[in-house]
Amino acid sequence: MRVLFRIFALIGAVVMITACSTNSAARDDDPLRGLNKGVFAFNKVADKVVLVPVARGYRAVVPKPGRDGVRNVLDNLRSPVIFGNDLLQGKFGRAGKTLARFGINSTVGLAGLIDVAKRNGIEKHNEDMGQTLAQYGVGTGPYLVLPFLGPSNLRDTAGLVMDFGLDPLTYVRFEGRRAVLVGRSGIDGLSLREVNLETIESFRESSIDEYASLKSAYEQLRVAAISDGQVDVDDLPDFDEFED
Amino acid sequence: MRILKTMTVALFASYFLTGIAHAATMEEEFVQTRANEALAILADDRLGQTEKAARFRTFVDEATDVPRIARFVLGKYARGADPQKISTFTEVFRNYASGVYEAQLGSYAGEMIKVTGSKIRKPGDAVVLSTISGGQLDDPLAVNWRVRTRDGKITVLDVQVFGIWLALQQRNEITSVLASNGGDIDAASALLRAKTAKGDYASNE
Repeated sequence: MRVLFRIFALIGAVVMITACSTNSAARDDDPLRGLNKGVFAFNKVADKVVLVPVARGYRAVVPKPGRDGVRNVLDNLRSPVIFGNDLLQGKFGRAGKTLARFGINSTVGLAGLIDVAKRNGIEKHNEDMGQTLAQYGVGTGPYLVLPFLGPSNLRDTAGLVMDFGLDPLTYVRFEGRRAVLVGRSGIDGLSLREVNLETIESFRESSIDEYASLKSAYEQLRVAAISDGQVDVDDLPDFDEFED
Repeated sequence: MRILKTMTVALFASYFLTGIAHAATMEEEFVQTRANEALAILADDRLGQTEKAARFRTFVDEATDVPRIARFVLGKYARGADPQKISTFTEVFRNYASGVYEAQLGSYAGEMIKVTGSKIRKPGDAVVLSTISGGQLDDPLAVNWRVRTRDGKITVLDVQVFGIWLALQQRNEITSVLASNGGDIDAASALLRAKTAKGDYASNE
């Protein structure tokens, strides 16, 4: 845990220093572009050399029902964080659904292995502290690309750290706790990478400018997540904006 | 015959009585009808891959406003630009976009579309909401359509899938390319042309 905080503190320091310096490659909507492109290039190499081969190996060794079970367990373990954010956003109906899902899947679903709640019409949804901060009117801050974690922004990065405060595992003391926390994060990343192998490959193939494409997709996806998928027509750009 | 006449009268009456609300309904009908036509092309097993692609391309040309989308994609760089350069970019963009969706034509597996409502941004500018389900989809997928109505003609300008507006996504990529190339539209055209050729799905310009 301490290591994670150190990493984020280091990233924060680098971000602040870079933000204060003059960056010739910076643009209005991406003031840390120079730094971000460096981390983006690093992530691409790490993805190609480490994550993709491991994710393919995971897919080859573990059959789909097993991988689905792992994904379900990890999603179930995240329920307290989602529940806390549901409550902080005043979405009590969704909080009730999260609680019901956690109760049902942790018991009847064999510690989260089987998503019994979904089979009974209680659909999964996601919330995080970045979305909660947005609901309270906190702006995104500059766009950031985090090592290994990928696209983010200052608000969502702060939210990522704050979400640890809503995770019960942060407060439970037991031998080997650190190994469990690191192991869970590692398996979570591996599982997500495996699920998205084809999607990310297709995304890269169809991208014209991969850095800009990832930034745009992240920003749009976050807007959609914050509004729970509801379209806000007033936020859409005008198609006649740049007519002569 | 009397039923037809009654329906026509009712349609005209509701058009004049409900104003903008009715305009949205027309746009919803447009999306549902056009989407069904598209699915019919995709599902037609009698068509070969080349013929299917050709018919789909004609369909997309009719249902969308490619020149306007291409201009939108160029963002601020379109303002005051050489019309010839914009025209070239439009054709290259048309081929690139066609190549992207034509590469996916074979993956259709019986999905169905259902329009669920619409939101009006301003007169003549609306978002039609829909869900796609069935086929290879485990869960219904929300797909939203930005449609524009001018002089009674409705066209699709943008589509939102998985929370991402595709034309907006293209604009963010293309304007990034343009920013790196001093706003040179020909550079963006060359990049798209190369991308299309690499995908091996280009038609002759």
